[in-house]
Amino acid sequence: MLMHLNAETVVRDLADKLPGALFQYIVRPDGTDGVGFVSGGCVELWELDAESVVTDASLLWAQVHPDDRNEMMASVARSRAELSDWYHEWRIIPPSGKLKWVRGIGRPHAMPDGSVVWTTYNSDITEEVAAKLAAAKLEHELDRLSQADQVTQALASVIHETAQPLAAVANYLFAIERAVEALPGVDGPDGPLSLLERAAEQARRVGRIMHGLRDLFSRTPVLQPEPIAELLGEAALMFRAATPGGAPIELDLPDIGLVEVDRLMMQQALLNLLRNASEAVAGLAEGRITLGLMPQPQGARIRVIDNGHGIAEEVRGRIFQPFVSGKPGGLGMGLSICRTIIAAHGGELRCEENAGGGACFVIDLYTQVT
Amino acid sequence: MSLNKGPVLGKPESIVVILDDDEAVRFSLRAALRATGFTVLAFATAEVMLQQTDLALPTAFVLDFELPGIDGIMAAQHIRACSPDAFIVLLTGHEIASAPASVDLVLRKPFDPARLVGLLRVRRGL
Repeated sequence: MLMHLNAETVVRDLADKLPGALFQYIVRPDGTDGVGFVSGGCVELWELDAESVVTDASLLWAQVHPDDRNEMMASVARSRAELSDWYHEWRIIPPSGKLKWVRGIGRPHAMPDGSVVWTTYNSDITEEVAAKLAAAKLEHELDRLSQADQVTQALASVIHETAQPLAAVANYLFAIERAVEALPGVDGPDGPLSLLERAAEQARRVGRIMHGLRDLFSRTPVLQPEPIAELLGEAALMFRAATPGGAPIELDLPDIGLVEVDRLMMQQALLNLLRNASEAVAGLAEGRITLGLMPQPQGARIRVIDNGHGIAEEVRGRIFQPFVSGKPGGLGMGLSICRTIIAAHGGELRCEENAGGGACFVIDLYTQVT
Repeated sequence: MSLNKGPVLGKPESIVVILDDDEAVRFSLRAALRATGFTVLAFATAEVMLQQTDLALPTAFVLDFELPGIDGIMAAQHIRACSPDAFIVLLTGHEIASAPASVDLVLRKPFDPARLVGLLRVRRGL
């Protein structure tokens, strides 16, 4: 003869096999609440045994993340008032302290005494939420990359279109300068010859900027053994010459021999880092920049250190991405250019916190030192 | 001698040919080189240049890379075939991987005219 289990036993057995917590939740007419039956999954989800939960439902509310509590209460109140199916996602902080995302579904039933009882199921969706967030982040990054790519292409075409008229301007200035220098009375610091030469210098300056931008997008480095200490010293000099009056640059550049780099690209990266450092200490009475070099077992380490305001924690991880800037109004191109250049050398550029405050940018080159 | 299949032009060792389809670049470069004593012939297309110039006579050619029809590199090959010693400069607006064999120097636009003139003068002295 076949023996039958009663329905409640069947439900309890099945419920205990579920990965989440199946339970009955009641809100009485006076607003007090409680938990009736709860399945064994409560231990894993809430890290509480069934007896505690049934005795004191407030233990569950206490786990709800403070920022999610109001919405959570509102969703239950709505389901109670409308007797509509309940669905909600929220965060909890169980006794282990490990934040979890929970999804709850439930169906309310009105009782004759005015209470509302839900049969409800809560499950841990932490991994699902993490995957969704990761996917959203990835999508955001891809968006940014495609945006960067479009800007790159637009910029390349702007550079190309601008190169012709700029070349013409430089040529005309040169021709006029030759014609003017043959005339009497054109010398002197404010004379036409000097003014023409200044105009020509500005045209050359724009040209250098354009070449620099073009390098960024298209050039592969041509590695040559270079006296690296000398190259760094030169970059510092060039930077000081271009932006006089800034904070002093302390040089710590021992002669460590020749390192294989692309001179122009490396200088471009250094000028960018020095410019950032200089802007970080602008206006500080004790502003200081250090450009350091030290030999490494396999290559060389270059450091650009400032004692400025440092890089905000929330930006530090993304500071090398295009269009992310730590400066108000910054284009967010400089550091991305630097990292591209250093990566093209097979090296590594990273940002570290400076012990004495400020920022420390470290370039590790793994190229031949001779 | 007949360089341009027309009137005799200056000293042959100071003749520079400019080939650029951009009128402003062509006109301004001609002005810059004339201002420093070069005799200049300027063309907008390689076809016209090849038709009207005795390629053996000029000491230097300044060629734009991107041209309609025959481009700067093809023009340089024609020139090199007729004039092994000519100084051939290629002007580029875009990046090119490496200088082609028929070209002596690649200058990226915008370039410093003083630098070009300096190089042409050194070349003329050779």
